[in-house]
Amino acid sequence: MNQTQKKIKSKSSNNPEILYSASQWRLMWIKFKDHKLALFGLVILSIFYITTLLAPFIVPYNPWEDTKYIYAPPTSIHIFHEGKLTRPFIYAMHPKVNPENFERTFEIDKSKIYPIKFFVKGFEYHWLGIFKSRLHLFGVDKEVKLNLLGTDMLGRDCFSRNIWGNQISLTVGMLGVFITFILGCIIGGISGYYGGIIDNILQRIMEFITCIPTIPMWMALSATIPADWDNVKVYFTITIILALRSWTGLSRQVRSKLLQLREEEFVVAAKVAGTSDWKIILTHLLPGFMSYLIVSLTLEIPKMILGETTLSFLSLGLRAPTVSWGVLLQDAQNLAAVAAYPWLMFPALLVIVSVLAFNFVGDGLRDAADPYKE
Amino acid sequence: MSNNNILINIENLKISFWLRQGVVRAVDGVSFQIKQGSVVGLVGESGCGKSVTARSLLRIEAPGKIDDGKIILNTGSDVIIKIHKLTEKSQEIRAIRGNEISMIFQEPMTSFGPMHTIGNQICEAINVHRDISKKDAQRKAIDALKSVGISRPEMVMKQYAHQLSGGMRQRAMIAMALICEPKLLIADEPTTALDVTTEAQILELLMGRQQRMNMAILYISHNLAVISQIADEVVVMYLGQIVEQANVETLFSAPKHPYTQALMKSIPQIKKDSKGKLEVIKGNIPDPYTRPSGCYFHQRCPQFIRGLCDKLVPQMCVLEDGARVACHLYK
Amino acid sequence: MNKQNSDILLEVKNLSKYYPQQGGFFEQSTGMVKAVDDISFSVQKGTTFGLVGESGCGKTTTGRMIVRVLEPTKGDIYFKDEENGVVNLLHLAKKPLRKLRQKIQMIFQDPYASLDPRMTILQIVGEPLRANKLASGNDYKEKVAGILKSVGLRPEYMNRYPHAFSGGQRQRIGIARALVTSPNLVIADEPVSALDVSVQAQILNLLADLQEQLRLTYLFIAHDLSVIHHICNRIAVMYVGKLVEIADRTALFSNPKHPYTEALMSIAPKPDPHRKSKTAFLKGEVADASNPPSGCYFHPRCRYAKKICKQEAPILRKKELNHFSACHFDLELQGNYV
Repeated sequence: MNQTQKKIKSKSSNNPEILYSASQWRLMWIKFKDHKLALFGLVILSIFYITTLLAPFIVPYNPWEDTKYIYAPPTSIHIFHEGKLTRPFIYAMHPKVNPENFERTFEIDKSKIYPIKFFVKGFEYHWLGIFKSRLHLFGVDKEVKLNLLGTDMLGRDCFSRNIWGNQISLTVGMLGVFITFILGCIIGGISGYYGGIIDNILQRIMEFITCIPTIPMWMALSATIPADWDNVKVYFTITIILALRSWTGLSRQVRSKLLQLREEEFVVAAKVAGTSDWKIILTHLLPGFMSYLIVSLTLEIPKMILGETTLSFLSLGLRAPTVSWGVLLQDAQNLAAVAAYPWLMFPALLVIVSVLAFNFVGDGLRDAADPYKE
Repeated sequence: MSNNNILINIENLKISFWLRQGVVRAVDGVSFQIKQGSVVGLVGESGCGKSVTARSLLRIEAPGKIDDGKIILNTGSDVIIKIHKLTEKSQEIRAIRGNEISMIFQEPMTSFGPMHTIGNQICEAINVHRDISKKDAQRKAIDALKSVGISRPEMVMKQYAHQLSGGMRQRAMIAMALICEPKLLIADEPTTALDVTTEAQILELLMGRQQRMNMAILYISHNLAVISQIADEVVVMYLGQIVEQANVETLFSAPKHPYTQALMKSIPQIKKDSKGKLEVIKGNIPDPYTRPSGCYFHQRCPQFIRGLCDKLVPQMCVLEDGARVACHLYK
Repeated sequence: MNKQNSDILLEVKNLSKYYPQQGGFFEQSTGMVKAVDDISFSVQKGTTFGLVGESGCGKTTTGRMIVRVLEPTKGDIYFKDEENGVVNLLHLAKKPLRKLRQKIQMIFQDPYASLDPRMTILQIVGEPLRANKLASGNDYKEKVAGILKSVGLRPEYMNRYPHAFSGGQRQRIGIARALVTSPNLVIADEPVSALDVSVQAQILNLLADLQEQLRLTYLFIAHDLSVIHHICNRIAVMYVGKLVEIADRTALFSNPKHPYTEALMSIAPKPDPHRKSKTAFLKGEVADASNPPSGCYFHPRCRYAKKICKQEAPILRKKELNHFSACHFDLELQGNYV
């Protein structure tokens, strides 16, 4: 037994059957748990994805609602009023234009306090296209605005837009990765199992694709998307474009793993037992590298997130009125605006955190990937 | 051939592997001596701790840790080195490795890096310990290769490890290990992965060099036949402890400990009157986490005495013919 | 050949396996590596036939050709099937071959590499049953439980994974897998070489017991002469792809007829400090299969070599009853027997 198995053995000495009957997934999970950073990343990702799922509920304002509170700074939340500790509240802010230099400012009216309420009624939404609801996590009275991250140039609540953007940015990776997985497995599988001329040809094609510079390729392909396509079509096309880049890497991994596993003695034993080639691939070879595949896929997702963000930022991907982090960052292209209104950069923080979290989890998975090797 | 000077004295050595949830005592109170110029065979099956014991002489027992006990090297010029007190990366232990004490392994590829030629690596082994010119080092290396039976040493000097056959690699590794004329050579199963013919040749080579250089060898193996060919003294280990130690003829003609006896009986031998079945030790080697009480072998022993063997740990005692046994049958 | 032809289970005739040697910049074929070269032997039902030799002699390759995971370059393999009589394994179509696989199974050398670590024991041992659709549901579990019992393992262990078992136990699992389809012929490819001494004894005893209970025939491949002597009835010695000697056990060990066999016996260490191995009997290294010596492959290392040995390759000739040797001379050799 190697070190991992010895550790588990002593942990479960009351019930050694746990160890003996532990499948490779269980062994992997036990190893993964040791990697503190990876666990942390997993927690962060869980928060992100739960937020994505519940986005319409969490968000207090309609992301497309224009208001007159243009470029409002983030609303301060106070807990002391006239020296006394009260529930969190905000003051009303009135937009004013300075008559001398036409600078926009906001005047704070400290006369009345507006406490933050939870589970309030807000704008209507269809959750997952099924449920209709007006319930939101938090909000304030209609006369005032609670802008946790300020507003943009059309007065739209940045916090709402950022969280709403999760839905696109965090899921575009999933679909792309799914396509990558299918393509990579099939082509890499054929290449690795049969070898010979087929392998040679496929490898050369893949190398050719890999040589094409990424961003220019994306730009070129995106430019071919007709301007009149609706958002959904554009979204799917973007994911396919992103996947085109990453399937080559994955198929090469699949191929090399297959070449290696093919020579293992238990594969020969399966042949002697009479198992057909196809079944050997499915039951012996595939589980053998499934863990590696998962690692690769996990590390592909942040690349896709960055890809979508980049494309949209360059106005080549999704466009307004679709809300994604990349589209939001378009507003941050103007340096002067960013200097004056730094909260417009917030989507960048979301990108960084999510990409880091995926990378930590991928690292942890990679370390846990082969529980039988040490 | 061998004088009575004791080269290595191991006293009550205890080595453990510290894992997060528990401790595995791989070596549990081992004591024996290696005399100058003698060949000691260390025999045992998987998990008996023979490899870890040997590695501790060069302080490469990591990830194990020495908990207790002494390892004393007597270099003969009245210098006594307490190996157990040296730290693993110290200059003192590095001066010993390859110089006073050398080691060869089962897999010769572990001795040679793939990126440098054999010649480069052997010269490096010389240069670490001797201050001689490059030309002299090269000549010494070629001589060393010749002395291990490599017919074209100049050519081999320029080759890489993967270009040589298994037997040649093993010979080159021996050349590298012996180049500074160590007082002790530790051989950790050096012939287990080799063919019978190559194995015999390597053994012959080792015996020859041993006699010429009056060098001591600590030979580790699980193969009793090989041990009988090469050793003067044999130490039998089971689950981290020594169960029997005797001179080779005594051990093979009259094994005392039930484990040794059972091992002897379970080897198939080419004899005219060999019967159908081999005698088998019942049960399996116990799990290192759940060591038996009293004598470690009691659950599998055909001469188990209830109430004694499972309660009391047997002490090592010396018998008339010089053998040492740790068994309640002998007092 | 043998008088009792009706008892022959396996007959190998002129079996060869050549690999093209590739060299040069464009990897052109520069010759052939003859891993196995024109070997012929027959195995009687219910016996254990040993194939012994050093690494590179072709014994493992031969075993793999017989189970048809490797395609021979030339030759024939005849197997006596109970239902269909004598068939040539190389001429069988896919479907009948699949069926015949149930009758010829293999035990592998490395107990750690030959079991898929990601499958339970039930799945591993039951795989031949599933592949040949021999059992399903409860019947399937029962069959696996039965075979596990007969190799000395508790059936409750079938839900465990290989990492829960020691080397010896894993080898038992491998044996169970080989026997679950009730084969007639089992190729045992170095089944005890990777095991500790005491475990080796257990497995050898187990194999002997199973042979008696299940009326098996073994083709036993090994490099250790003492193991071969213990378990085999008839033995073939191989050197660099060729068969150099075939004889019954007693005849081989008391009266070897080939210098290589004599050398192997003299050199192998015996557990007796008074009997040191005589290395003088064998000099040099095993010949390189990609560039073998001329004439008799063994001549550069042979004590008795004469001029003719360098020029002409000897053929396997009958020296005594049932005793064949590939040597130009009729030598009286001393085996290291007593």
